[in-house]
Amino acid sequence: MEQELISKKELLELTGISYGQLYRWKRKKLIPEEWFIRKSTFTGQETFFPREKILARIEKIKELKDERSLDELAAMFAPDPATVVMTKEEIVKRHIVSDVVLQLLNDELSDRNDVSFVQLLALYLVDRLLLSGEISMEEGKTIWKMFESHYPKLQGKSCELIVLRKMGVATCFLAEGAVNLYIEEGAKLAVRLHVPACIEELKLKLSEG
Amino acid sequence: MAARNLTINGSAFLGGGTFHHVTVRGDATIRGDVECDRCKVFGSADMKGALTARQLRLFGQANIDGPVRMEKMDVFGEADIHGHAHLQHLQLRGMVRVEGNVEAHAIRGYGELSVSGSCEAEKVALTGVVRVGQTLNAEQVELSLYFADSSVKEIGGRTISVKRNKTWNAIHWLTRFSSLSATLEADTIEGDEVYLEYTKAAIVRGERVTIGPGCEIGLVEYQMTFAQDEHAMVKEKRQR
Repeated sequence: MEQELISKKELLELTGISYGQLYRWKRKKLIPEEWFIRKSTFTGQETFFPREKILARIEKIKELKDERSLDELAAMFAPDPATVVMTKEEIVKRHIVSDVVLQLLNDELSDRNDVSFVQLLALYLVDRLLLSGEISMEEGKTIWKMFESHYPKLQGKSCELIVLRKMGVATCFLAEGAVNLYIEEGAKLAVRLHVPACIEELKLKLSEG
Repeated sequence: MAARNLTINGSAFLGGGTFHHVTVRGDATIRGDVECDRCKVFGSADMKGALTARQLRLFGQANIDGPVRMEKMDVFGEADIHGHAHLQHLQLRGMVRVEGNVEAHAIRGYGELSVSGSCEAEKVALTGVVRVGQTLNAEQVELSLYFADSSVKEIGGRTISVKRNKTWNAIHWLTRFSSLSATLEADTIEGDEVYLEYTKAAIVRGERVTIGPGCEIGLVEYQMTFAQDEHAMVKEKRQR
């Protein structure tokens, strides 16, 4: 996937962090190894980063680093979801997802009271999409079912949640890694969500409560 | 952890397993992964598999074909590791060669450290020779060049100090016509505080940069201060 890059020098100037901080955050796994893109330039080897991702990440680290330890931050950014198990009451009490979604999907959850991280993630995604008005209740159910049955197969790998709609009929799927989509004219790309980014948001929400 | 101990006196060939203490006096070939609390080798150990231990004390030679994970590793002699090494403390008196990456809290000692991949630690304080194929990333890097040439592709950290060992300077004066040298070669060196001696690097970037004697630097980019020894060569310098 084509992405805009930023050089290390420009990054440090723009964000005001030092080399020491950048290397420390890399050591602490706050910045993933894959983001360090080495390219040869006329001055020799230079390191580049995916511009948007790294800027967003550094903003977040700067914002949170006074309140949390670097290890806590690393756990938050880690792609493998934490082993979180919550009860339904907790979810409602801490406003992690809205009541509407929980009621909608209560039938699916009914036999168990505790909710795993994957289920919570699915709830969170559906909640988010419903609140933004991108999907209908019925579609929410479909996404939930699809996500719960397919997401574990990815084993924590990066993926995108995609919803296509044509003539009012929607279909959803997960795409592993970063892919380019080429869609027929009559269909509309209703939703395209980067799941790891949602995991980060969710983890942040969890750790705040 | 199982309370069984494994003791080898003499020579033996055996499989791995989980033990409390592993002691090798002599020569052992172990096929399979070994997990133990304390591992001591006096002599030679050839391990074909991963080694997970709280502590390894090595007097002699060890060859480990697999990843290594331990809290403390003391090497008096030579260790060859084919796999990644996760350590808390590495105490070096001799030579450690790693075909893979090293992640550690602190690395210190005398001798030679070769890492084919990258080496990350909070503190690296070594006297001797350091060779790192990728990045040496540490909060604090203190290298004291001795015996032979060191090379690191990229050094990054908060404080970086590369000096030539004083004793070596005296020896070098005596052997100044021989080809022996103790220098560091690097592509890029980036840190907040950088002090270099006898270093050949293409690019040095930092907040406060001091280029000491014997350096040959292509480009220095500094933010706050820059100082250069009269016996150093810097082709280009920029403040930004």
